[in-house]
Amino acid sequence: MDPSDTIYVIDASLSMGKGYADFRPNKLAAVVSLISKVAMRKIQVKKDRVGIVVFYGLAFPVLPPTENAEAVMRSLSLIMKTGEGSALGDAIIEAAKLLRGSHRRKEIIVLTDGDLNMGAPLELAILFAVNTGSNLCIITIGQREKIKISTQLAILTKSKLIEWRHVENVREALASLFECSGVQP
Amino acid sequence: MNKPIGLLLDYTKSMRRELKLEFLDYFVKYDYTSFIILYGIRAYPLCELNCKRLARLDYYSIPTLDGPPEPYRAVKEAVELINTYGLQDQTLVLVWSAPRKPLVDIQIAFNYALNSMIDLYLIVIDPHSARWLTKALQVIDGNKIIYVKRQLNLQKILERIS
Repeated sequence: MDPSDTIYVIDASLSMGKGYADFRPNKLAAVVSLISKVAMRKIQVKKDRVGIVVFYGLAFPVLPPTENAEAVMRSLSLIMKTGEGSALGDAIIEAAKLLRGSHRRKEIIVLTDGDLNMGAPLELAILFAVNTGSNLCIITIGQREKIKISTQLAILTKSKLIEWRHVENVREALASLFECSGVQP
Repeated sequence: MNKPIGLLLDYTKSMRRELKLEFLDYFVKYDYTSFIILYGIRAYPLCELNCKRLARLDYYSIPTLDGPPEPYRAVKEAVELINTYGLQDQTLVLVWSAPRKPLVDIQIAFNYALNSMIDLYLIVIDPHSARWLTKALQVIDGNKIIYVKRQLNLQKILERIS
């Protein structure tokens, strides 16, 4: 597969600061550790570029797409604090903006535990991301169907442009991350 | 000659739904649409350079954005987009329902576009005679303002802009 530009969108809302199943010490720390494994494989094996967006009540780019593995690890190590609110729509839009001008395959991979409550409507964010040519993979952790989606979004998810996966433990999360990221474990 | 256009559409509840959709139906299909931004308190891009790919069924599902609408934010988002892609000779069409005085004056939005060498037209929907609005519009070049009181005639509006 051709090299890609991938943005990992990481939910840092308050609920991610809690543990769930074997996501220890908490979901956020576990997710960051999983992403670091997968991101390194992408950079070292596939020569992909990796970027990061973090969100809680705000969404902010932390790292534009880069092949610099050290920069990726350094940026991930800074993601420790959680905050109030959950603006996934804003985060997806920020991720798509980071991919503007990229001539590679564009991927946005989201890890969240749901509970979205503010910012851009998810319908708008997903339409924008898809319209700018990004493939979107949303991995939700924990309780099912916390993300409420309209029927139309559900139809969009049946296309190949959006993947929606639900995971209950670290093993499933890692497998989903590898698959969404297009790398072998 | 037709100019490339960026549509900045007030997507709050103070804009009549049928008007929102009429604007989107027209500009999604219009050959010279560069991008569409929807705005309320915040501004979000809907499509860039590829708006024709949007299906009606998709954008009809977008819920209203939280208001009141902040036109300056929409213009700022547009200017950033134009600079990112290096788009030339863009005209911005800013559609505003003007329900309340915005936090950032509309004049500042115009100034920002002007300083960025971007042409901006304002379409005021269902204009009212509130003093803040009358005052705000007085300081803007009247040639750049279009009032829509009942029905929308987009073809006529675009002829005027072109």
